[in-house]
Amino acid sequence: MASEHTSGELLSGEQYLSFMLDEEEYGVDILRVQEVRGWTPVTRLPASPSYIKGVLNLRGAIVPVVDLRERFGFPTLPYGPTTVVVVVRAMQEDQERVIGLVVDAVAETYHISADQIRPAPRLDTAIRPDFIAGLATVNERMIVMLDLDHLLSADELALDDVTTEDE
Amino acid sequence: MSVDLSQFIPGFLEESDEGLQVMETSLLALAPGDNETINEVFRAAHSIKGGAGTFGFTGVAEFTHEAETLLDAMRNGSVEVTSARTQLLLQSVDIIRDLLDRAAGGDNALPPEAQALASALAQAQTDSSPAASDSGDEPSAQTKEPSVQDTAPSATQADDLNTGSAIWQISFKADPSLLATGNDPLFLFQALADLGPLRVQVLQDTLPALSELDPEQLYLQWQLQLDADCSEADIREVFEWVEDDIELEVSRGGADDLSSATDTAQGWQIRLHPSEDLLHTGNDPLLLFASLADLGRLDVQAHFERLPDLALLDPSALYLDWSLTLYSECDEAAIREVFEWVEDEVELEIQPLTPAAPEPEEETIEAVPETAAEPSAAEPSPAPQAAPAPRPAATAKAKPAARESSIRVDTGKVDSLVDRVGELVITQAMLLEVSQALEELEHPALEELQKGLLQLERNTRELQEDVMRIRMLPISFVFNRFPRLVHDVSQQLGKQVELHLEGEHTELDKTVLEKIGDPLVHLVRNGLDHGLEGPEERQAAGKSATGHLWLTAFQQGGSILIEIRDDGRGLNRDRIRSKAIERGLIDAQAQLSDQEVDELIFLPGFSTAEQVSDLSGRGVGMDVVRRNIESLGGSIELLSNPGVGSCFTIRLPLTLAIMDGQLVRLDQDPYVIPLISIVETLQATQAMLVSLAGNRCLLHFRDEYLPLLRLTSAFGLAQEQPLQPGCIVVVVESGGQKAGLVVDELMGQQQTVIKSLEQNYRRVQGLSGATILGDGSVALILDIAGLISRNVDADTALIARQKNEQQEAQA
Repeated sequence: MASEHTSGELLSGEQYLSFMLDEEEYGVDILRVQEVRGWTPVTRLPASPSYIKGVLNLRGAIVPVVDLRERFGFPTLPYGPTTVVVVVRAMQEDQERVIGLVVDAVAETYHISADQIRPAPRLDTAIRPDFIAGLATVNERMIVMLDLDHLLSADELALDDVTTEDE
Repeated sequence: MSVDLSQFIPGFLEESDEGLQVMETSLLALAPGDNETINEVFRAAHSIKGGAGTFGFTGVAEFTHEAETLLDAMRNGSVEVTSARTQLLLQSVDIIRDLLDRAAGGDNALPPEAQALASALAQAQTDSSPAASDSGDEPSAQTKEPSVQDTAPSATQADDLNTGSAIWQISFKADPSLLATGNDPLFLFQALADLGPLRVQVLQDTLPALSELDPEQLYLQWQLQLDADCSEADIREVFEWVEDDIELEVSRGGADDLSSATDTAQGWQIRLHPSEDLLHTGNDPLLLFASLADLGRLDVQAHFERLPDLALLDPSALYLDWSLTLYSECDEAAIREVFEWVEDEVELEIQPLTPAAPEPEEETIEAVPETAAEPSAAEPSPAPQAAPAPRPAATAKAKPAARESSIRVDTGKVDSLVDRVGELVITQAMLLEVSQALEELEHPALEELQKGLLQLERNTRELQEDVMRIRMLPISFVFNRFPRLVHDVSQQLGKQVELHLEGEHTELDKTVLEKIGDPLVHLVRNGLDHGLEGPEERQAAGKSATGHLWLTAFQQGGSILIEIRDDGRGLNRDRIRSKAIERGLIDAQAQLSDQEVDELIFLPGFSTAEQVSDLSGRGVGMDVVRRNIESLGGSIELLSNPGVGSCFTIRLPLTLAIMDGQLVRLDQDPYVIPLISIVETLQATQAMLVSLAGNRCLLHFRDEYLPLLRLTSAFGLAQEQPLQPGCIVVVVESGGQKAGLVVDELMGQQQTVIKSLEQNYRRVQGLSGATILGDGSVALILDIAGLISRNVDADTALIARQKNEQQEAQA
């Protein structure tokens, strides 16, 4: 187990995919990214928070799509030609979920070592602190590292209107 | 042991469950003297015990051991098969099931009821009976395997064989590599047995020590005696294909060399049960046997029941038990001395041999060489006492594989296969659309393309059907529990009931199968409790004292039908009616047809049992039965004939993975309504729309007022518009409640593959899942039951009901 962990860190600790959101750059572990696809209309889901744009068909799986601007409470923008859906895997309660994130545009991939990432000071950003894994500075640019598992946890997605009182 | 055994526990539990099922079924069918059936029960119990021991489920192992000992006693005839003992064993099945559950949860203690039953079992083992004295020949006489015979036949049998003119002595020595060439001596012997009665004796002189044994080599030789009226050429023909690899001697002659051994009647019967660690302590059973053989002639029989599956097998552990028969005039102390060094690791039972009636276990002849020599062979004979030869060699082997040719596959793998194929179907549909769009091109290759696509379509459809079929299991998995249930319940009620199961091989989707069990149990209990009369009442009504209950399953189109039919008294309509009035379910003046009265029992809050028995009056009504069946996308109907009987018919979809749906449009999005819940679709006229306060609306349709659901606004897809005449309404029904759904457009009907929303998201109110349309987009599937129960507010429902009643009163 222990060895598996270290090798995982070596691999996953280094490469990150970054994307743009409201003029800022955000990074996610590249091994969590399943694919990046252009924005296509999705099927709306009733009785869901507004940042859930709907569901799309990803090779037979029904995948929910989250607008990250709305999720973070940023002003919304009309989707344009650079708008992409970053499909990521998140672990929740031992279950892997696949979720699409609508972002303004993809930016770069970076090699970032663990010591380049420092904890985020609370004041740096408007986003809820538990969504953020840390901050990294690469080429004098600041990248906000997202904590996907928290960001996309079931409670977060389900929000206040969870009513699964079915018998 | 370096292998992590815990990963095998789920498999073991599953297997044990099947084993318990077998025990139950067999016990119910058990008649005195039916050793075949006892053997079946015994084997099931034994493998549970063995597995439980392996996994350290000591409680299960301990308790099962008691049941097994009783079974053994029943098998060898030392106690009689009585209904009391059978009952005791049936109770044991329940206890073992319970103990397994506990053990899986980490609790290995024996609860008091298990301890009580264990001592009852122990007591039942010791009762001797007159049958014991002549038990010797019985089991072997009933063994059907033609080649399995007694080495110590009674004098008359031996004479018959000796005097017969057509006795062939066949000596068969095979090259050790025989198995590697794909030949199996067992098949040869079976072919010989087709010629006439065959006796087989195995000679294991050439067997090496365990440490030198190569499990793929054949170390055994055989002495065969065939009683057949055939020529030598016939016999040689059987061995034709292997003649280069064997030494064969065929001669006519008597049977003496097979039976001579039994002359020495004085001796000892020794049962040896070594611990698994015996080999670790440097001991080798072979050496022990060699020392015993110094005392006299020794017959050795190995018992393989403890052998685990090959995957679980630790080659350094010992899984065998032995029965030894020593023909010697030595005393018991001499035998004990041989085992002196291993006494802590071995359980030893030594009994003097009774010359007159040798015990069946001491027989040494077997026709089943392959267990000794090749790991892959199937279990040869159902009788454990016919298990073959005596050597630790077998520690290196797997337990014989189950006779059915099947594999256990994780359902996740099957589901992903179903997904993949669903994808393929969609891709194929998309390609077909593209090819149609290309039609104007008039390219010569286009026709070829379209031909290919048609072929692809046919293949994908067949592939889809095949893949769906993987998830299907025979309904016998559910039906199996009923013989026991009917047996128990009818005894409890003092009724005589015969259960008839039909169509057990009808196949159903695994998920449906898992969920249909409880409703069926409920219906069967109901039939036993309310439907069928007691013997006196039946005879008074001119029927046979024994009531009949039929459980029938069959396929009809895309549905599976299950009928639960009895020849009892039928439903009591007067009582149902008065009960319904009492409960306020119907109006006292309501005019109802017989069928309508009968169907009242499906209404929530209805129960006719005058006294709450512990059978059907468990606070669960027929409404729950119906709801459960509907949640599977099925329906239930009832037909009753007073005095003659009643019949419930359950209609279920073949699979939950596919559903026939009506595609509708709400605002701009496609939605799917399950076809099974649609009553009718219509275009509402002005007269049909009845407005209520608060922007609510009723649909007046076929003399009925139904609540109208406006999904577009309920789902927040668009602003609510006043209802216009001409709007499209889909009338749906679930749980006996109807409602009208207002939709914006009716699109096509199609078969849809149901996908889960929960997998990556969560349950969404009003939706039961999603599906993928031909163009690759997602359509959501409406959960009609959920929509009706949540979106029809009590107020609207009440107004609708009042209006309906008013209308009836006027009519």
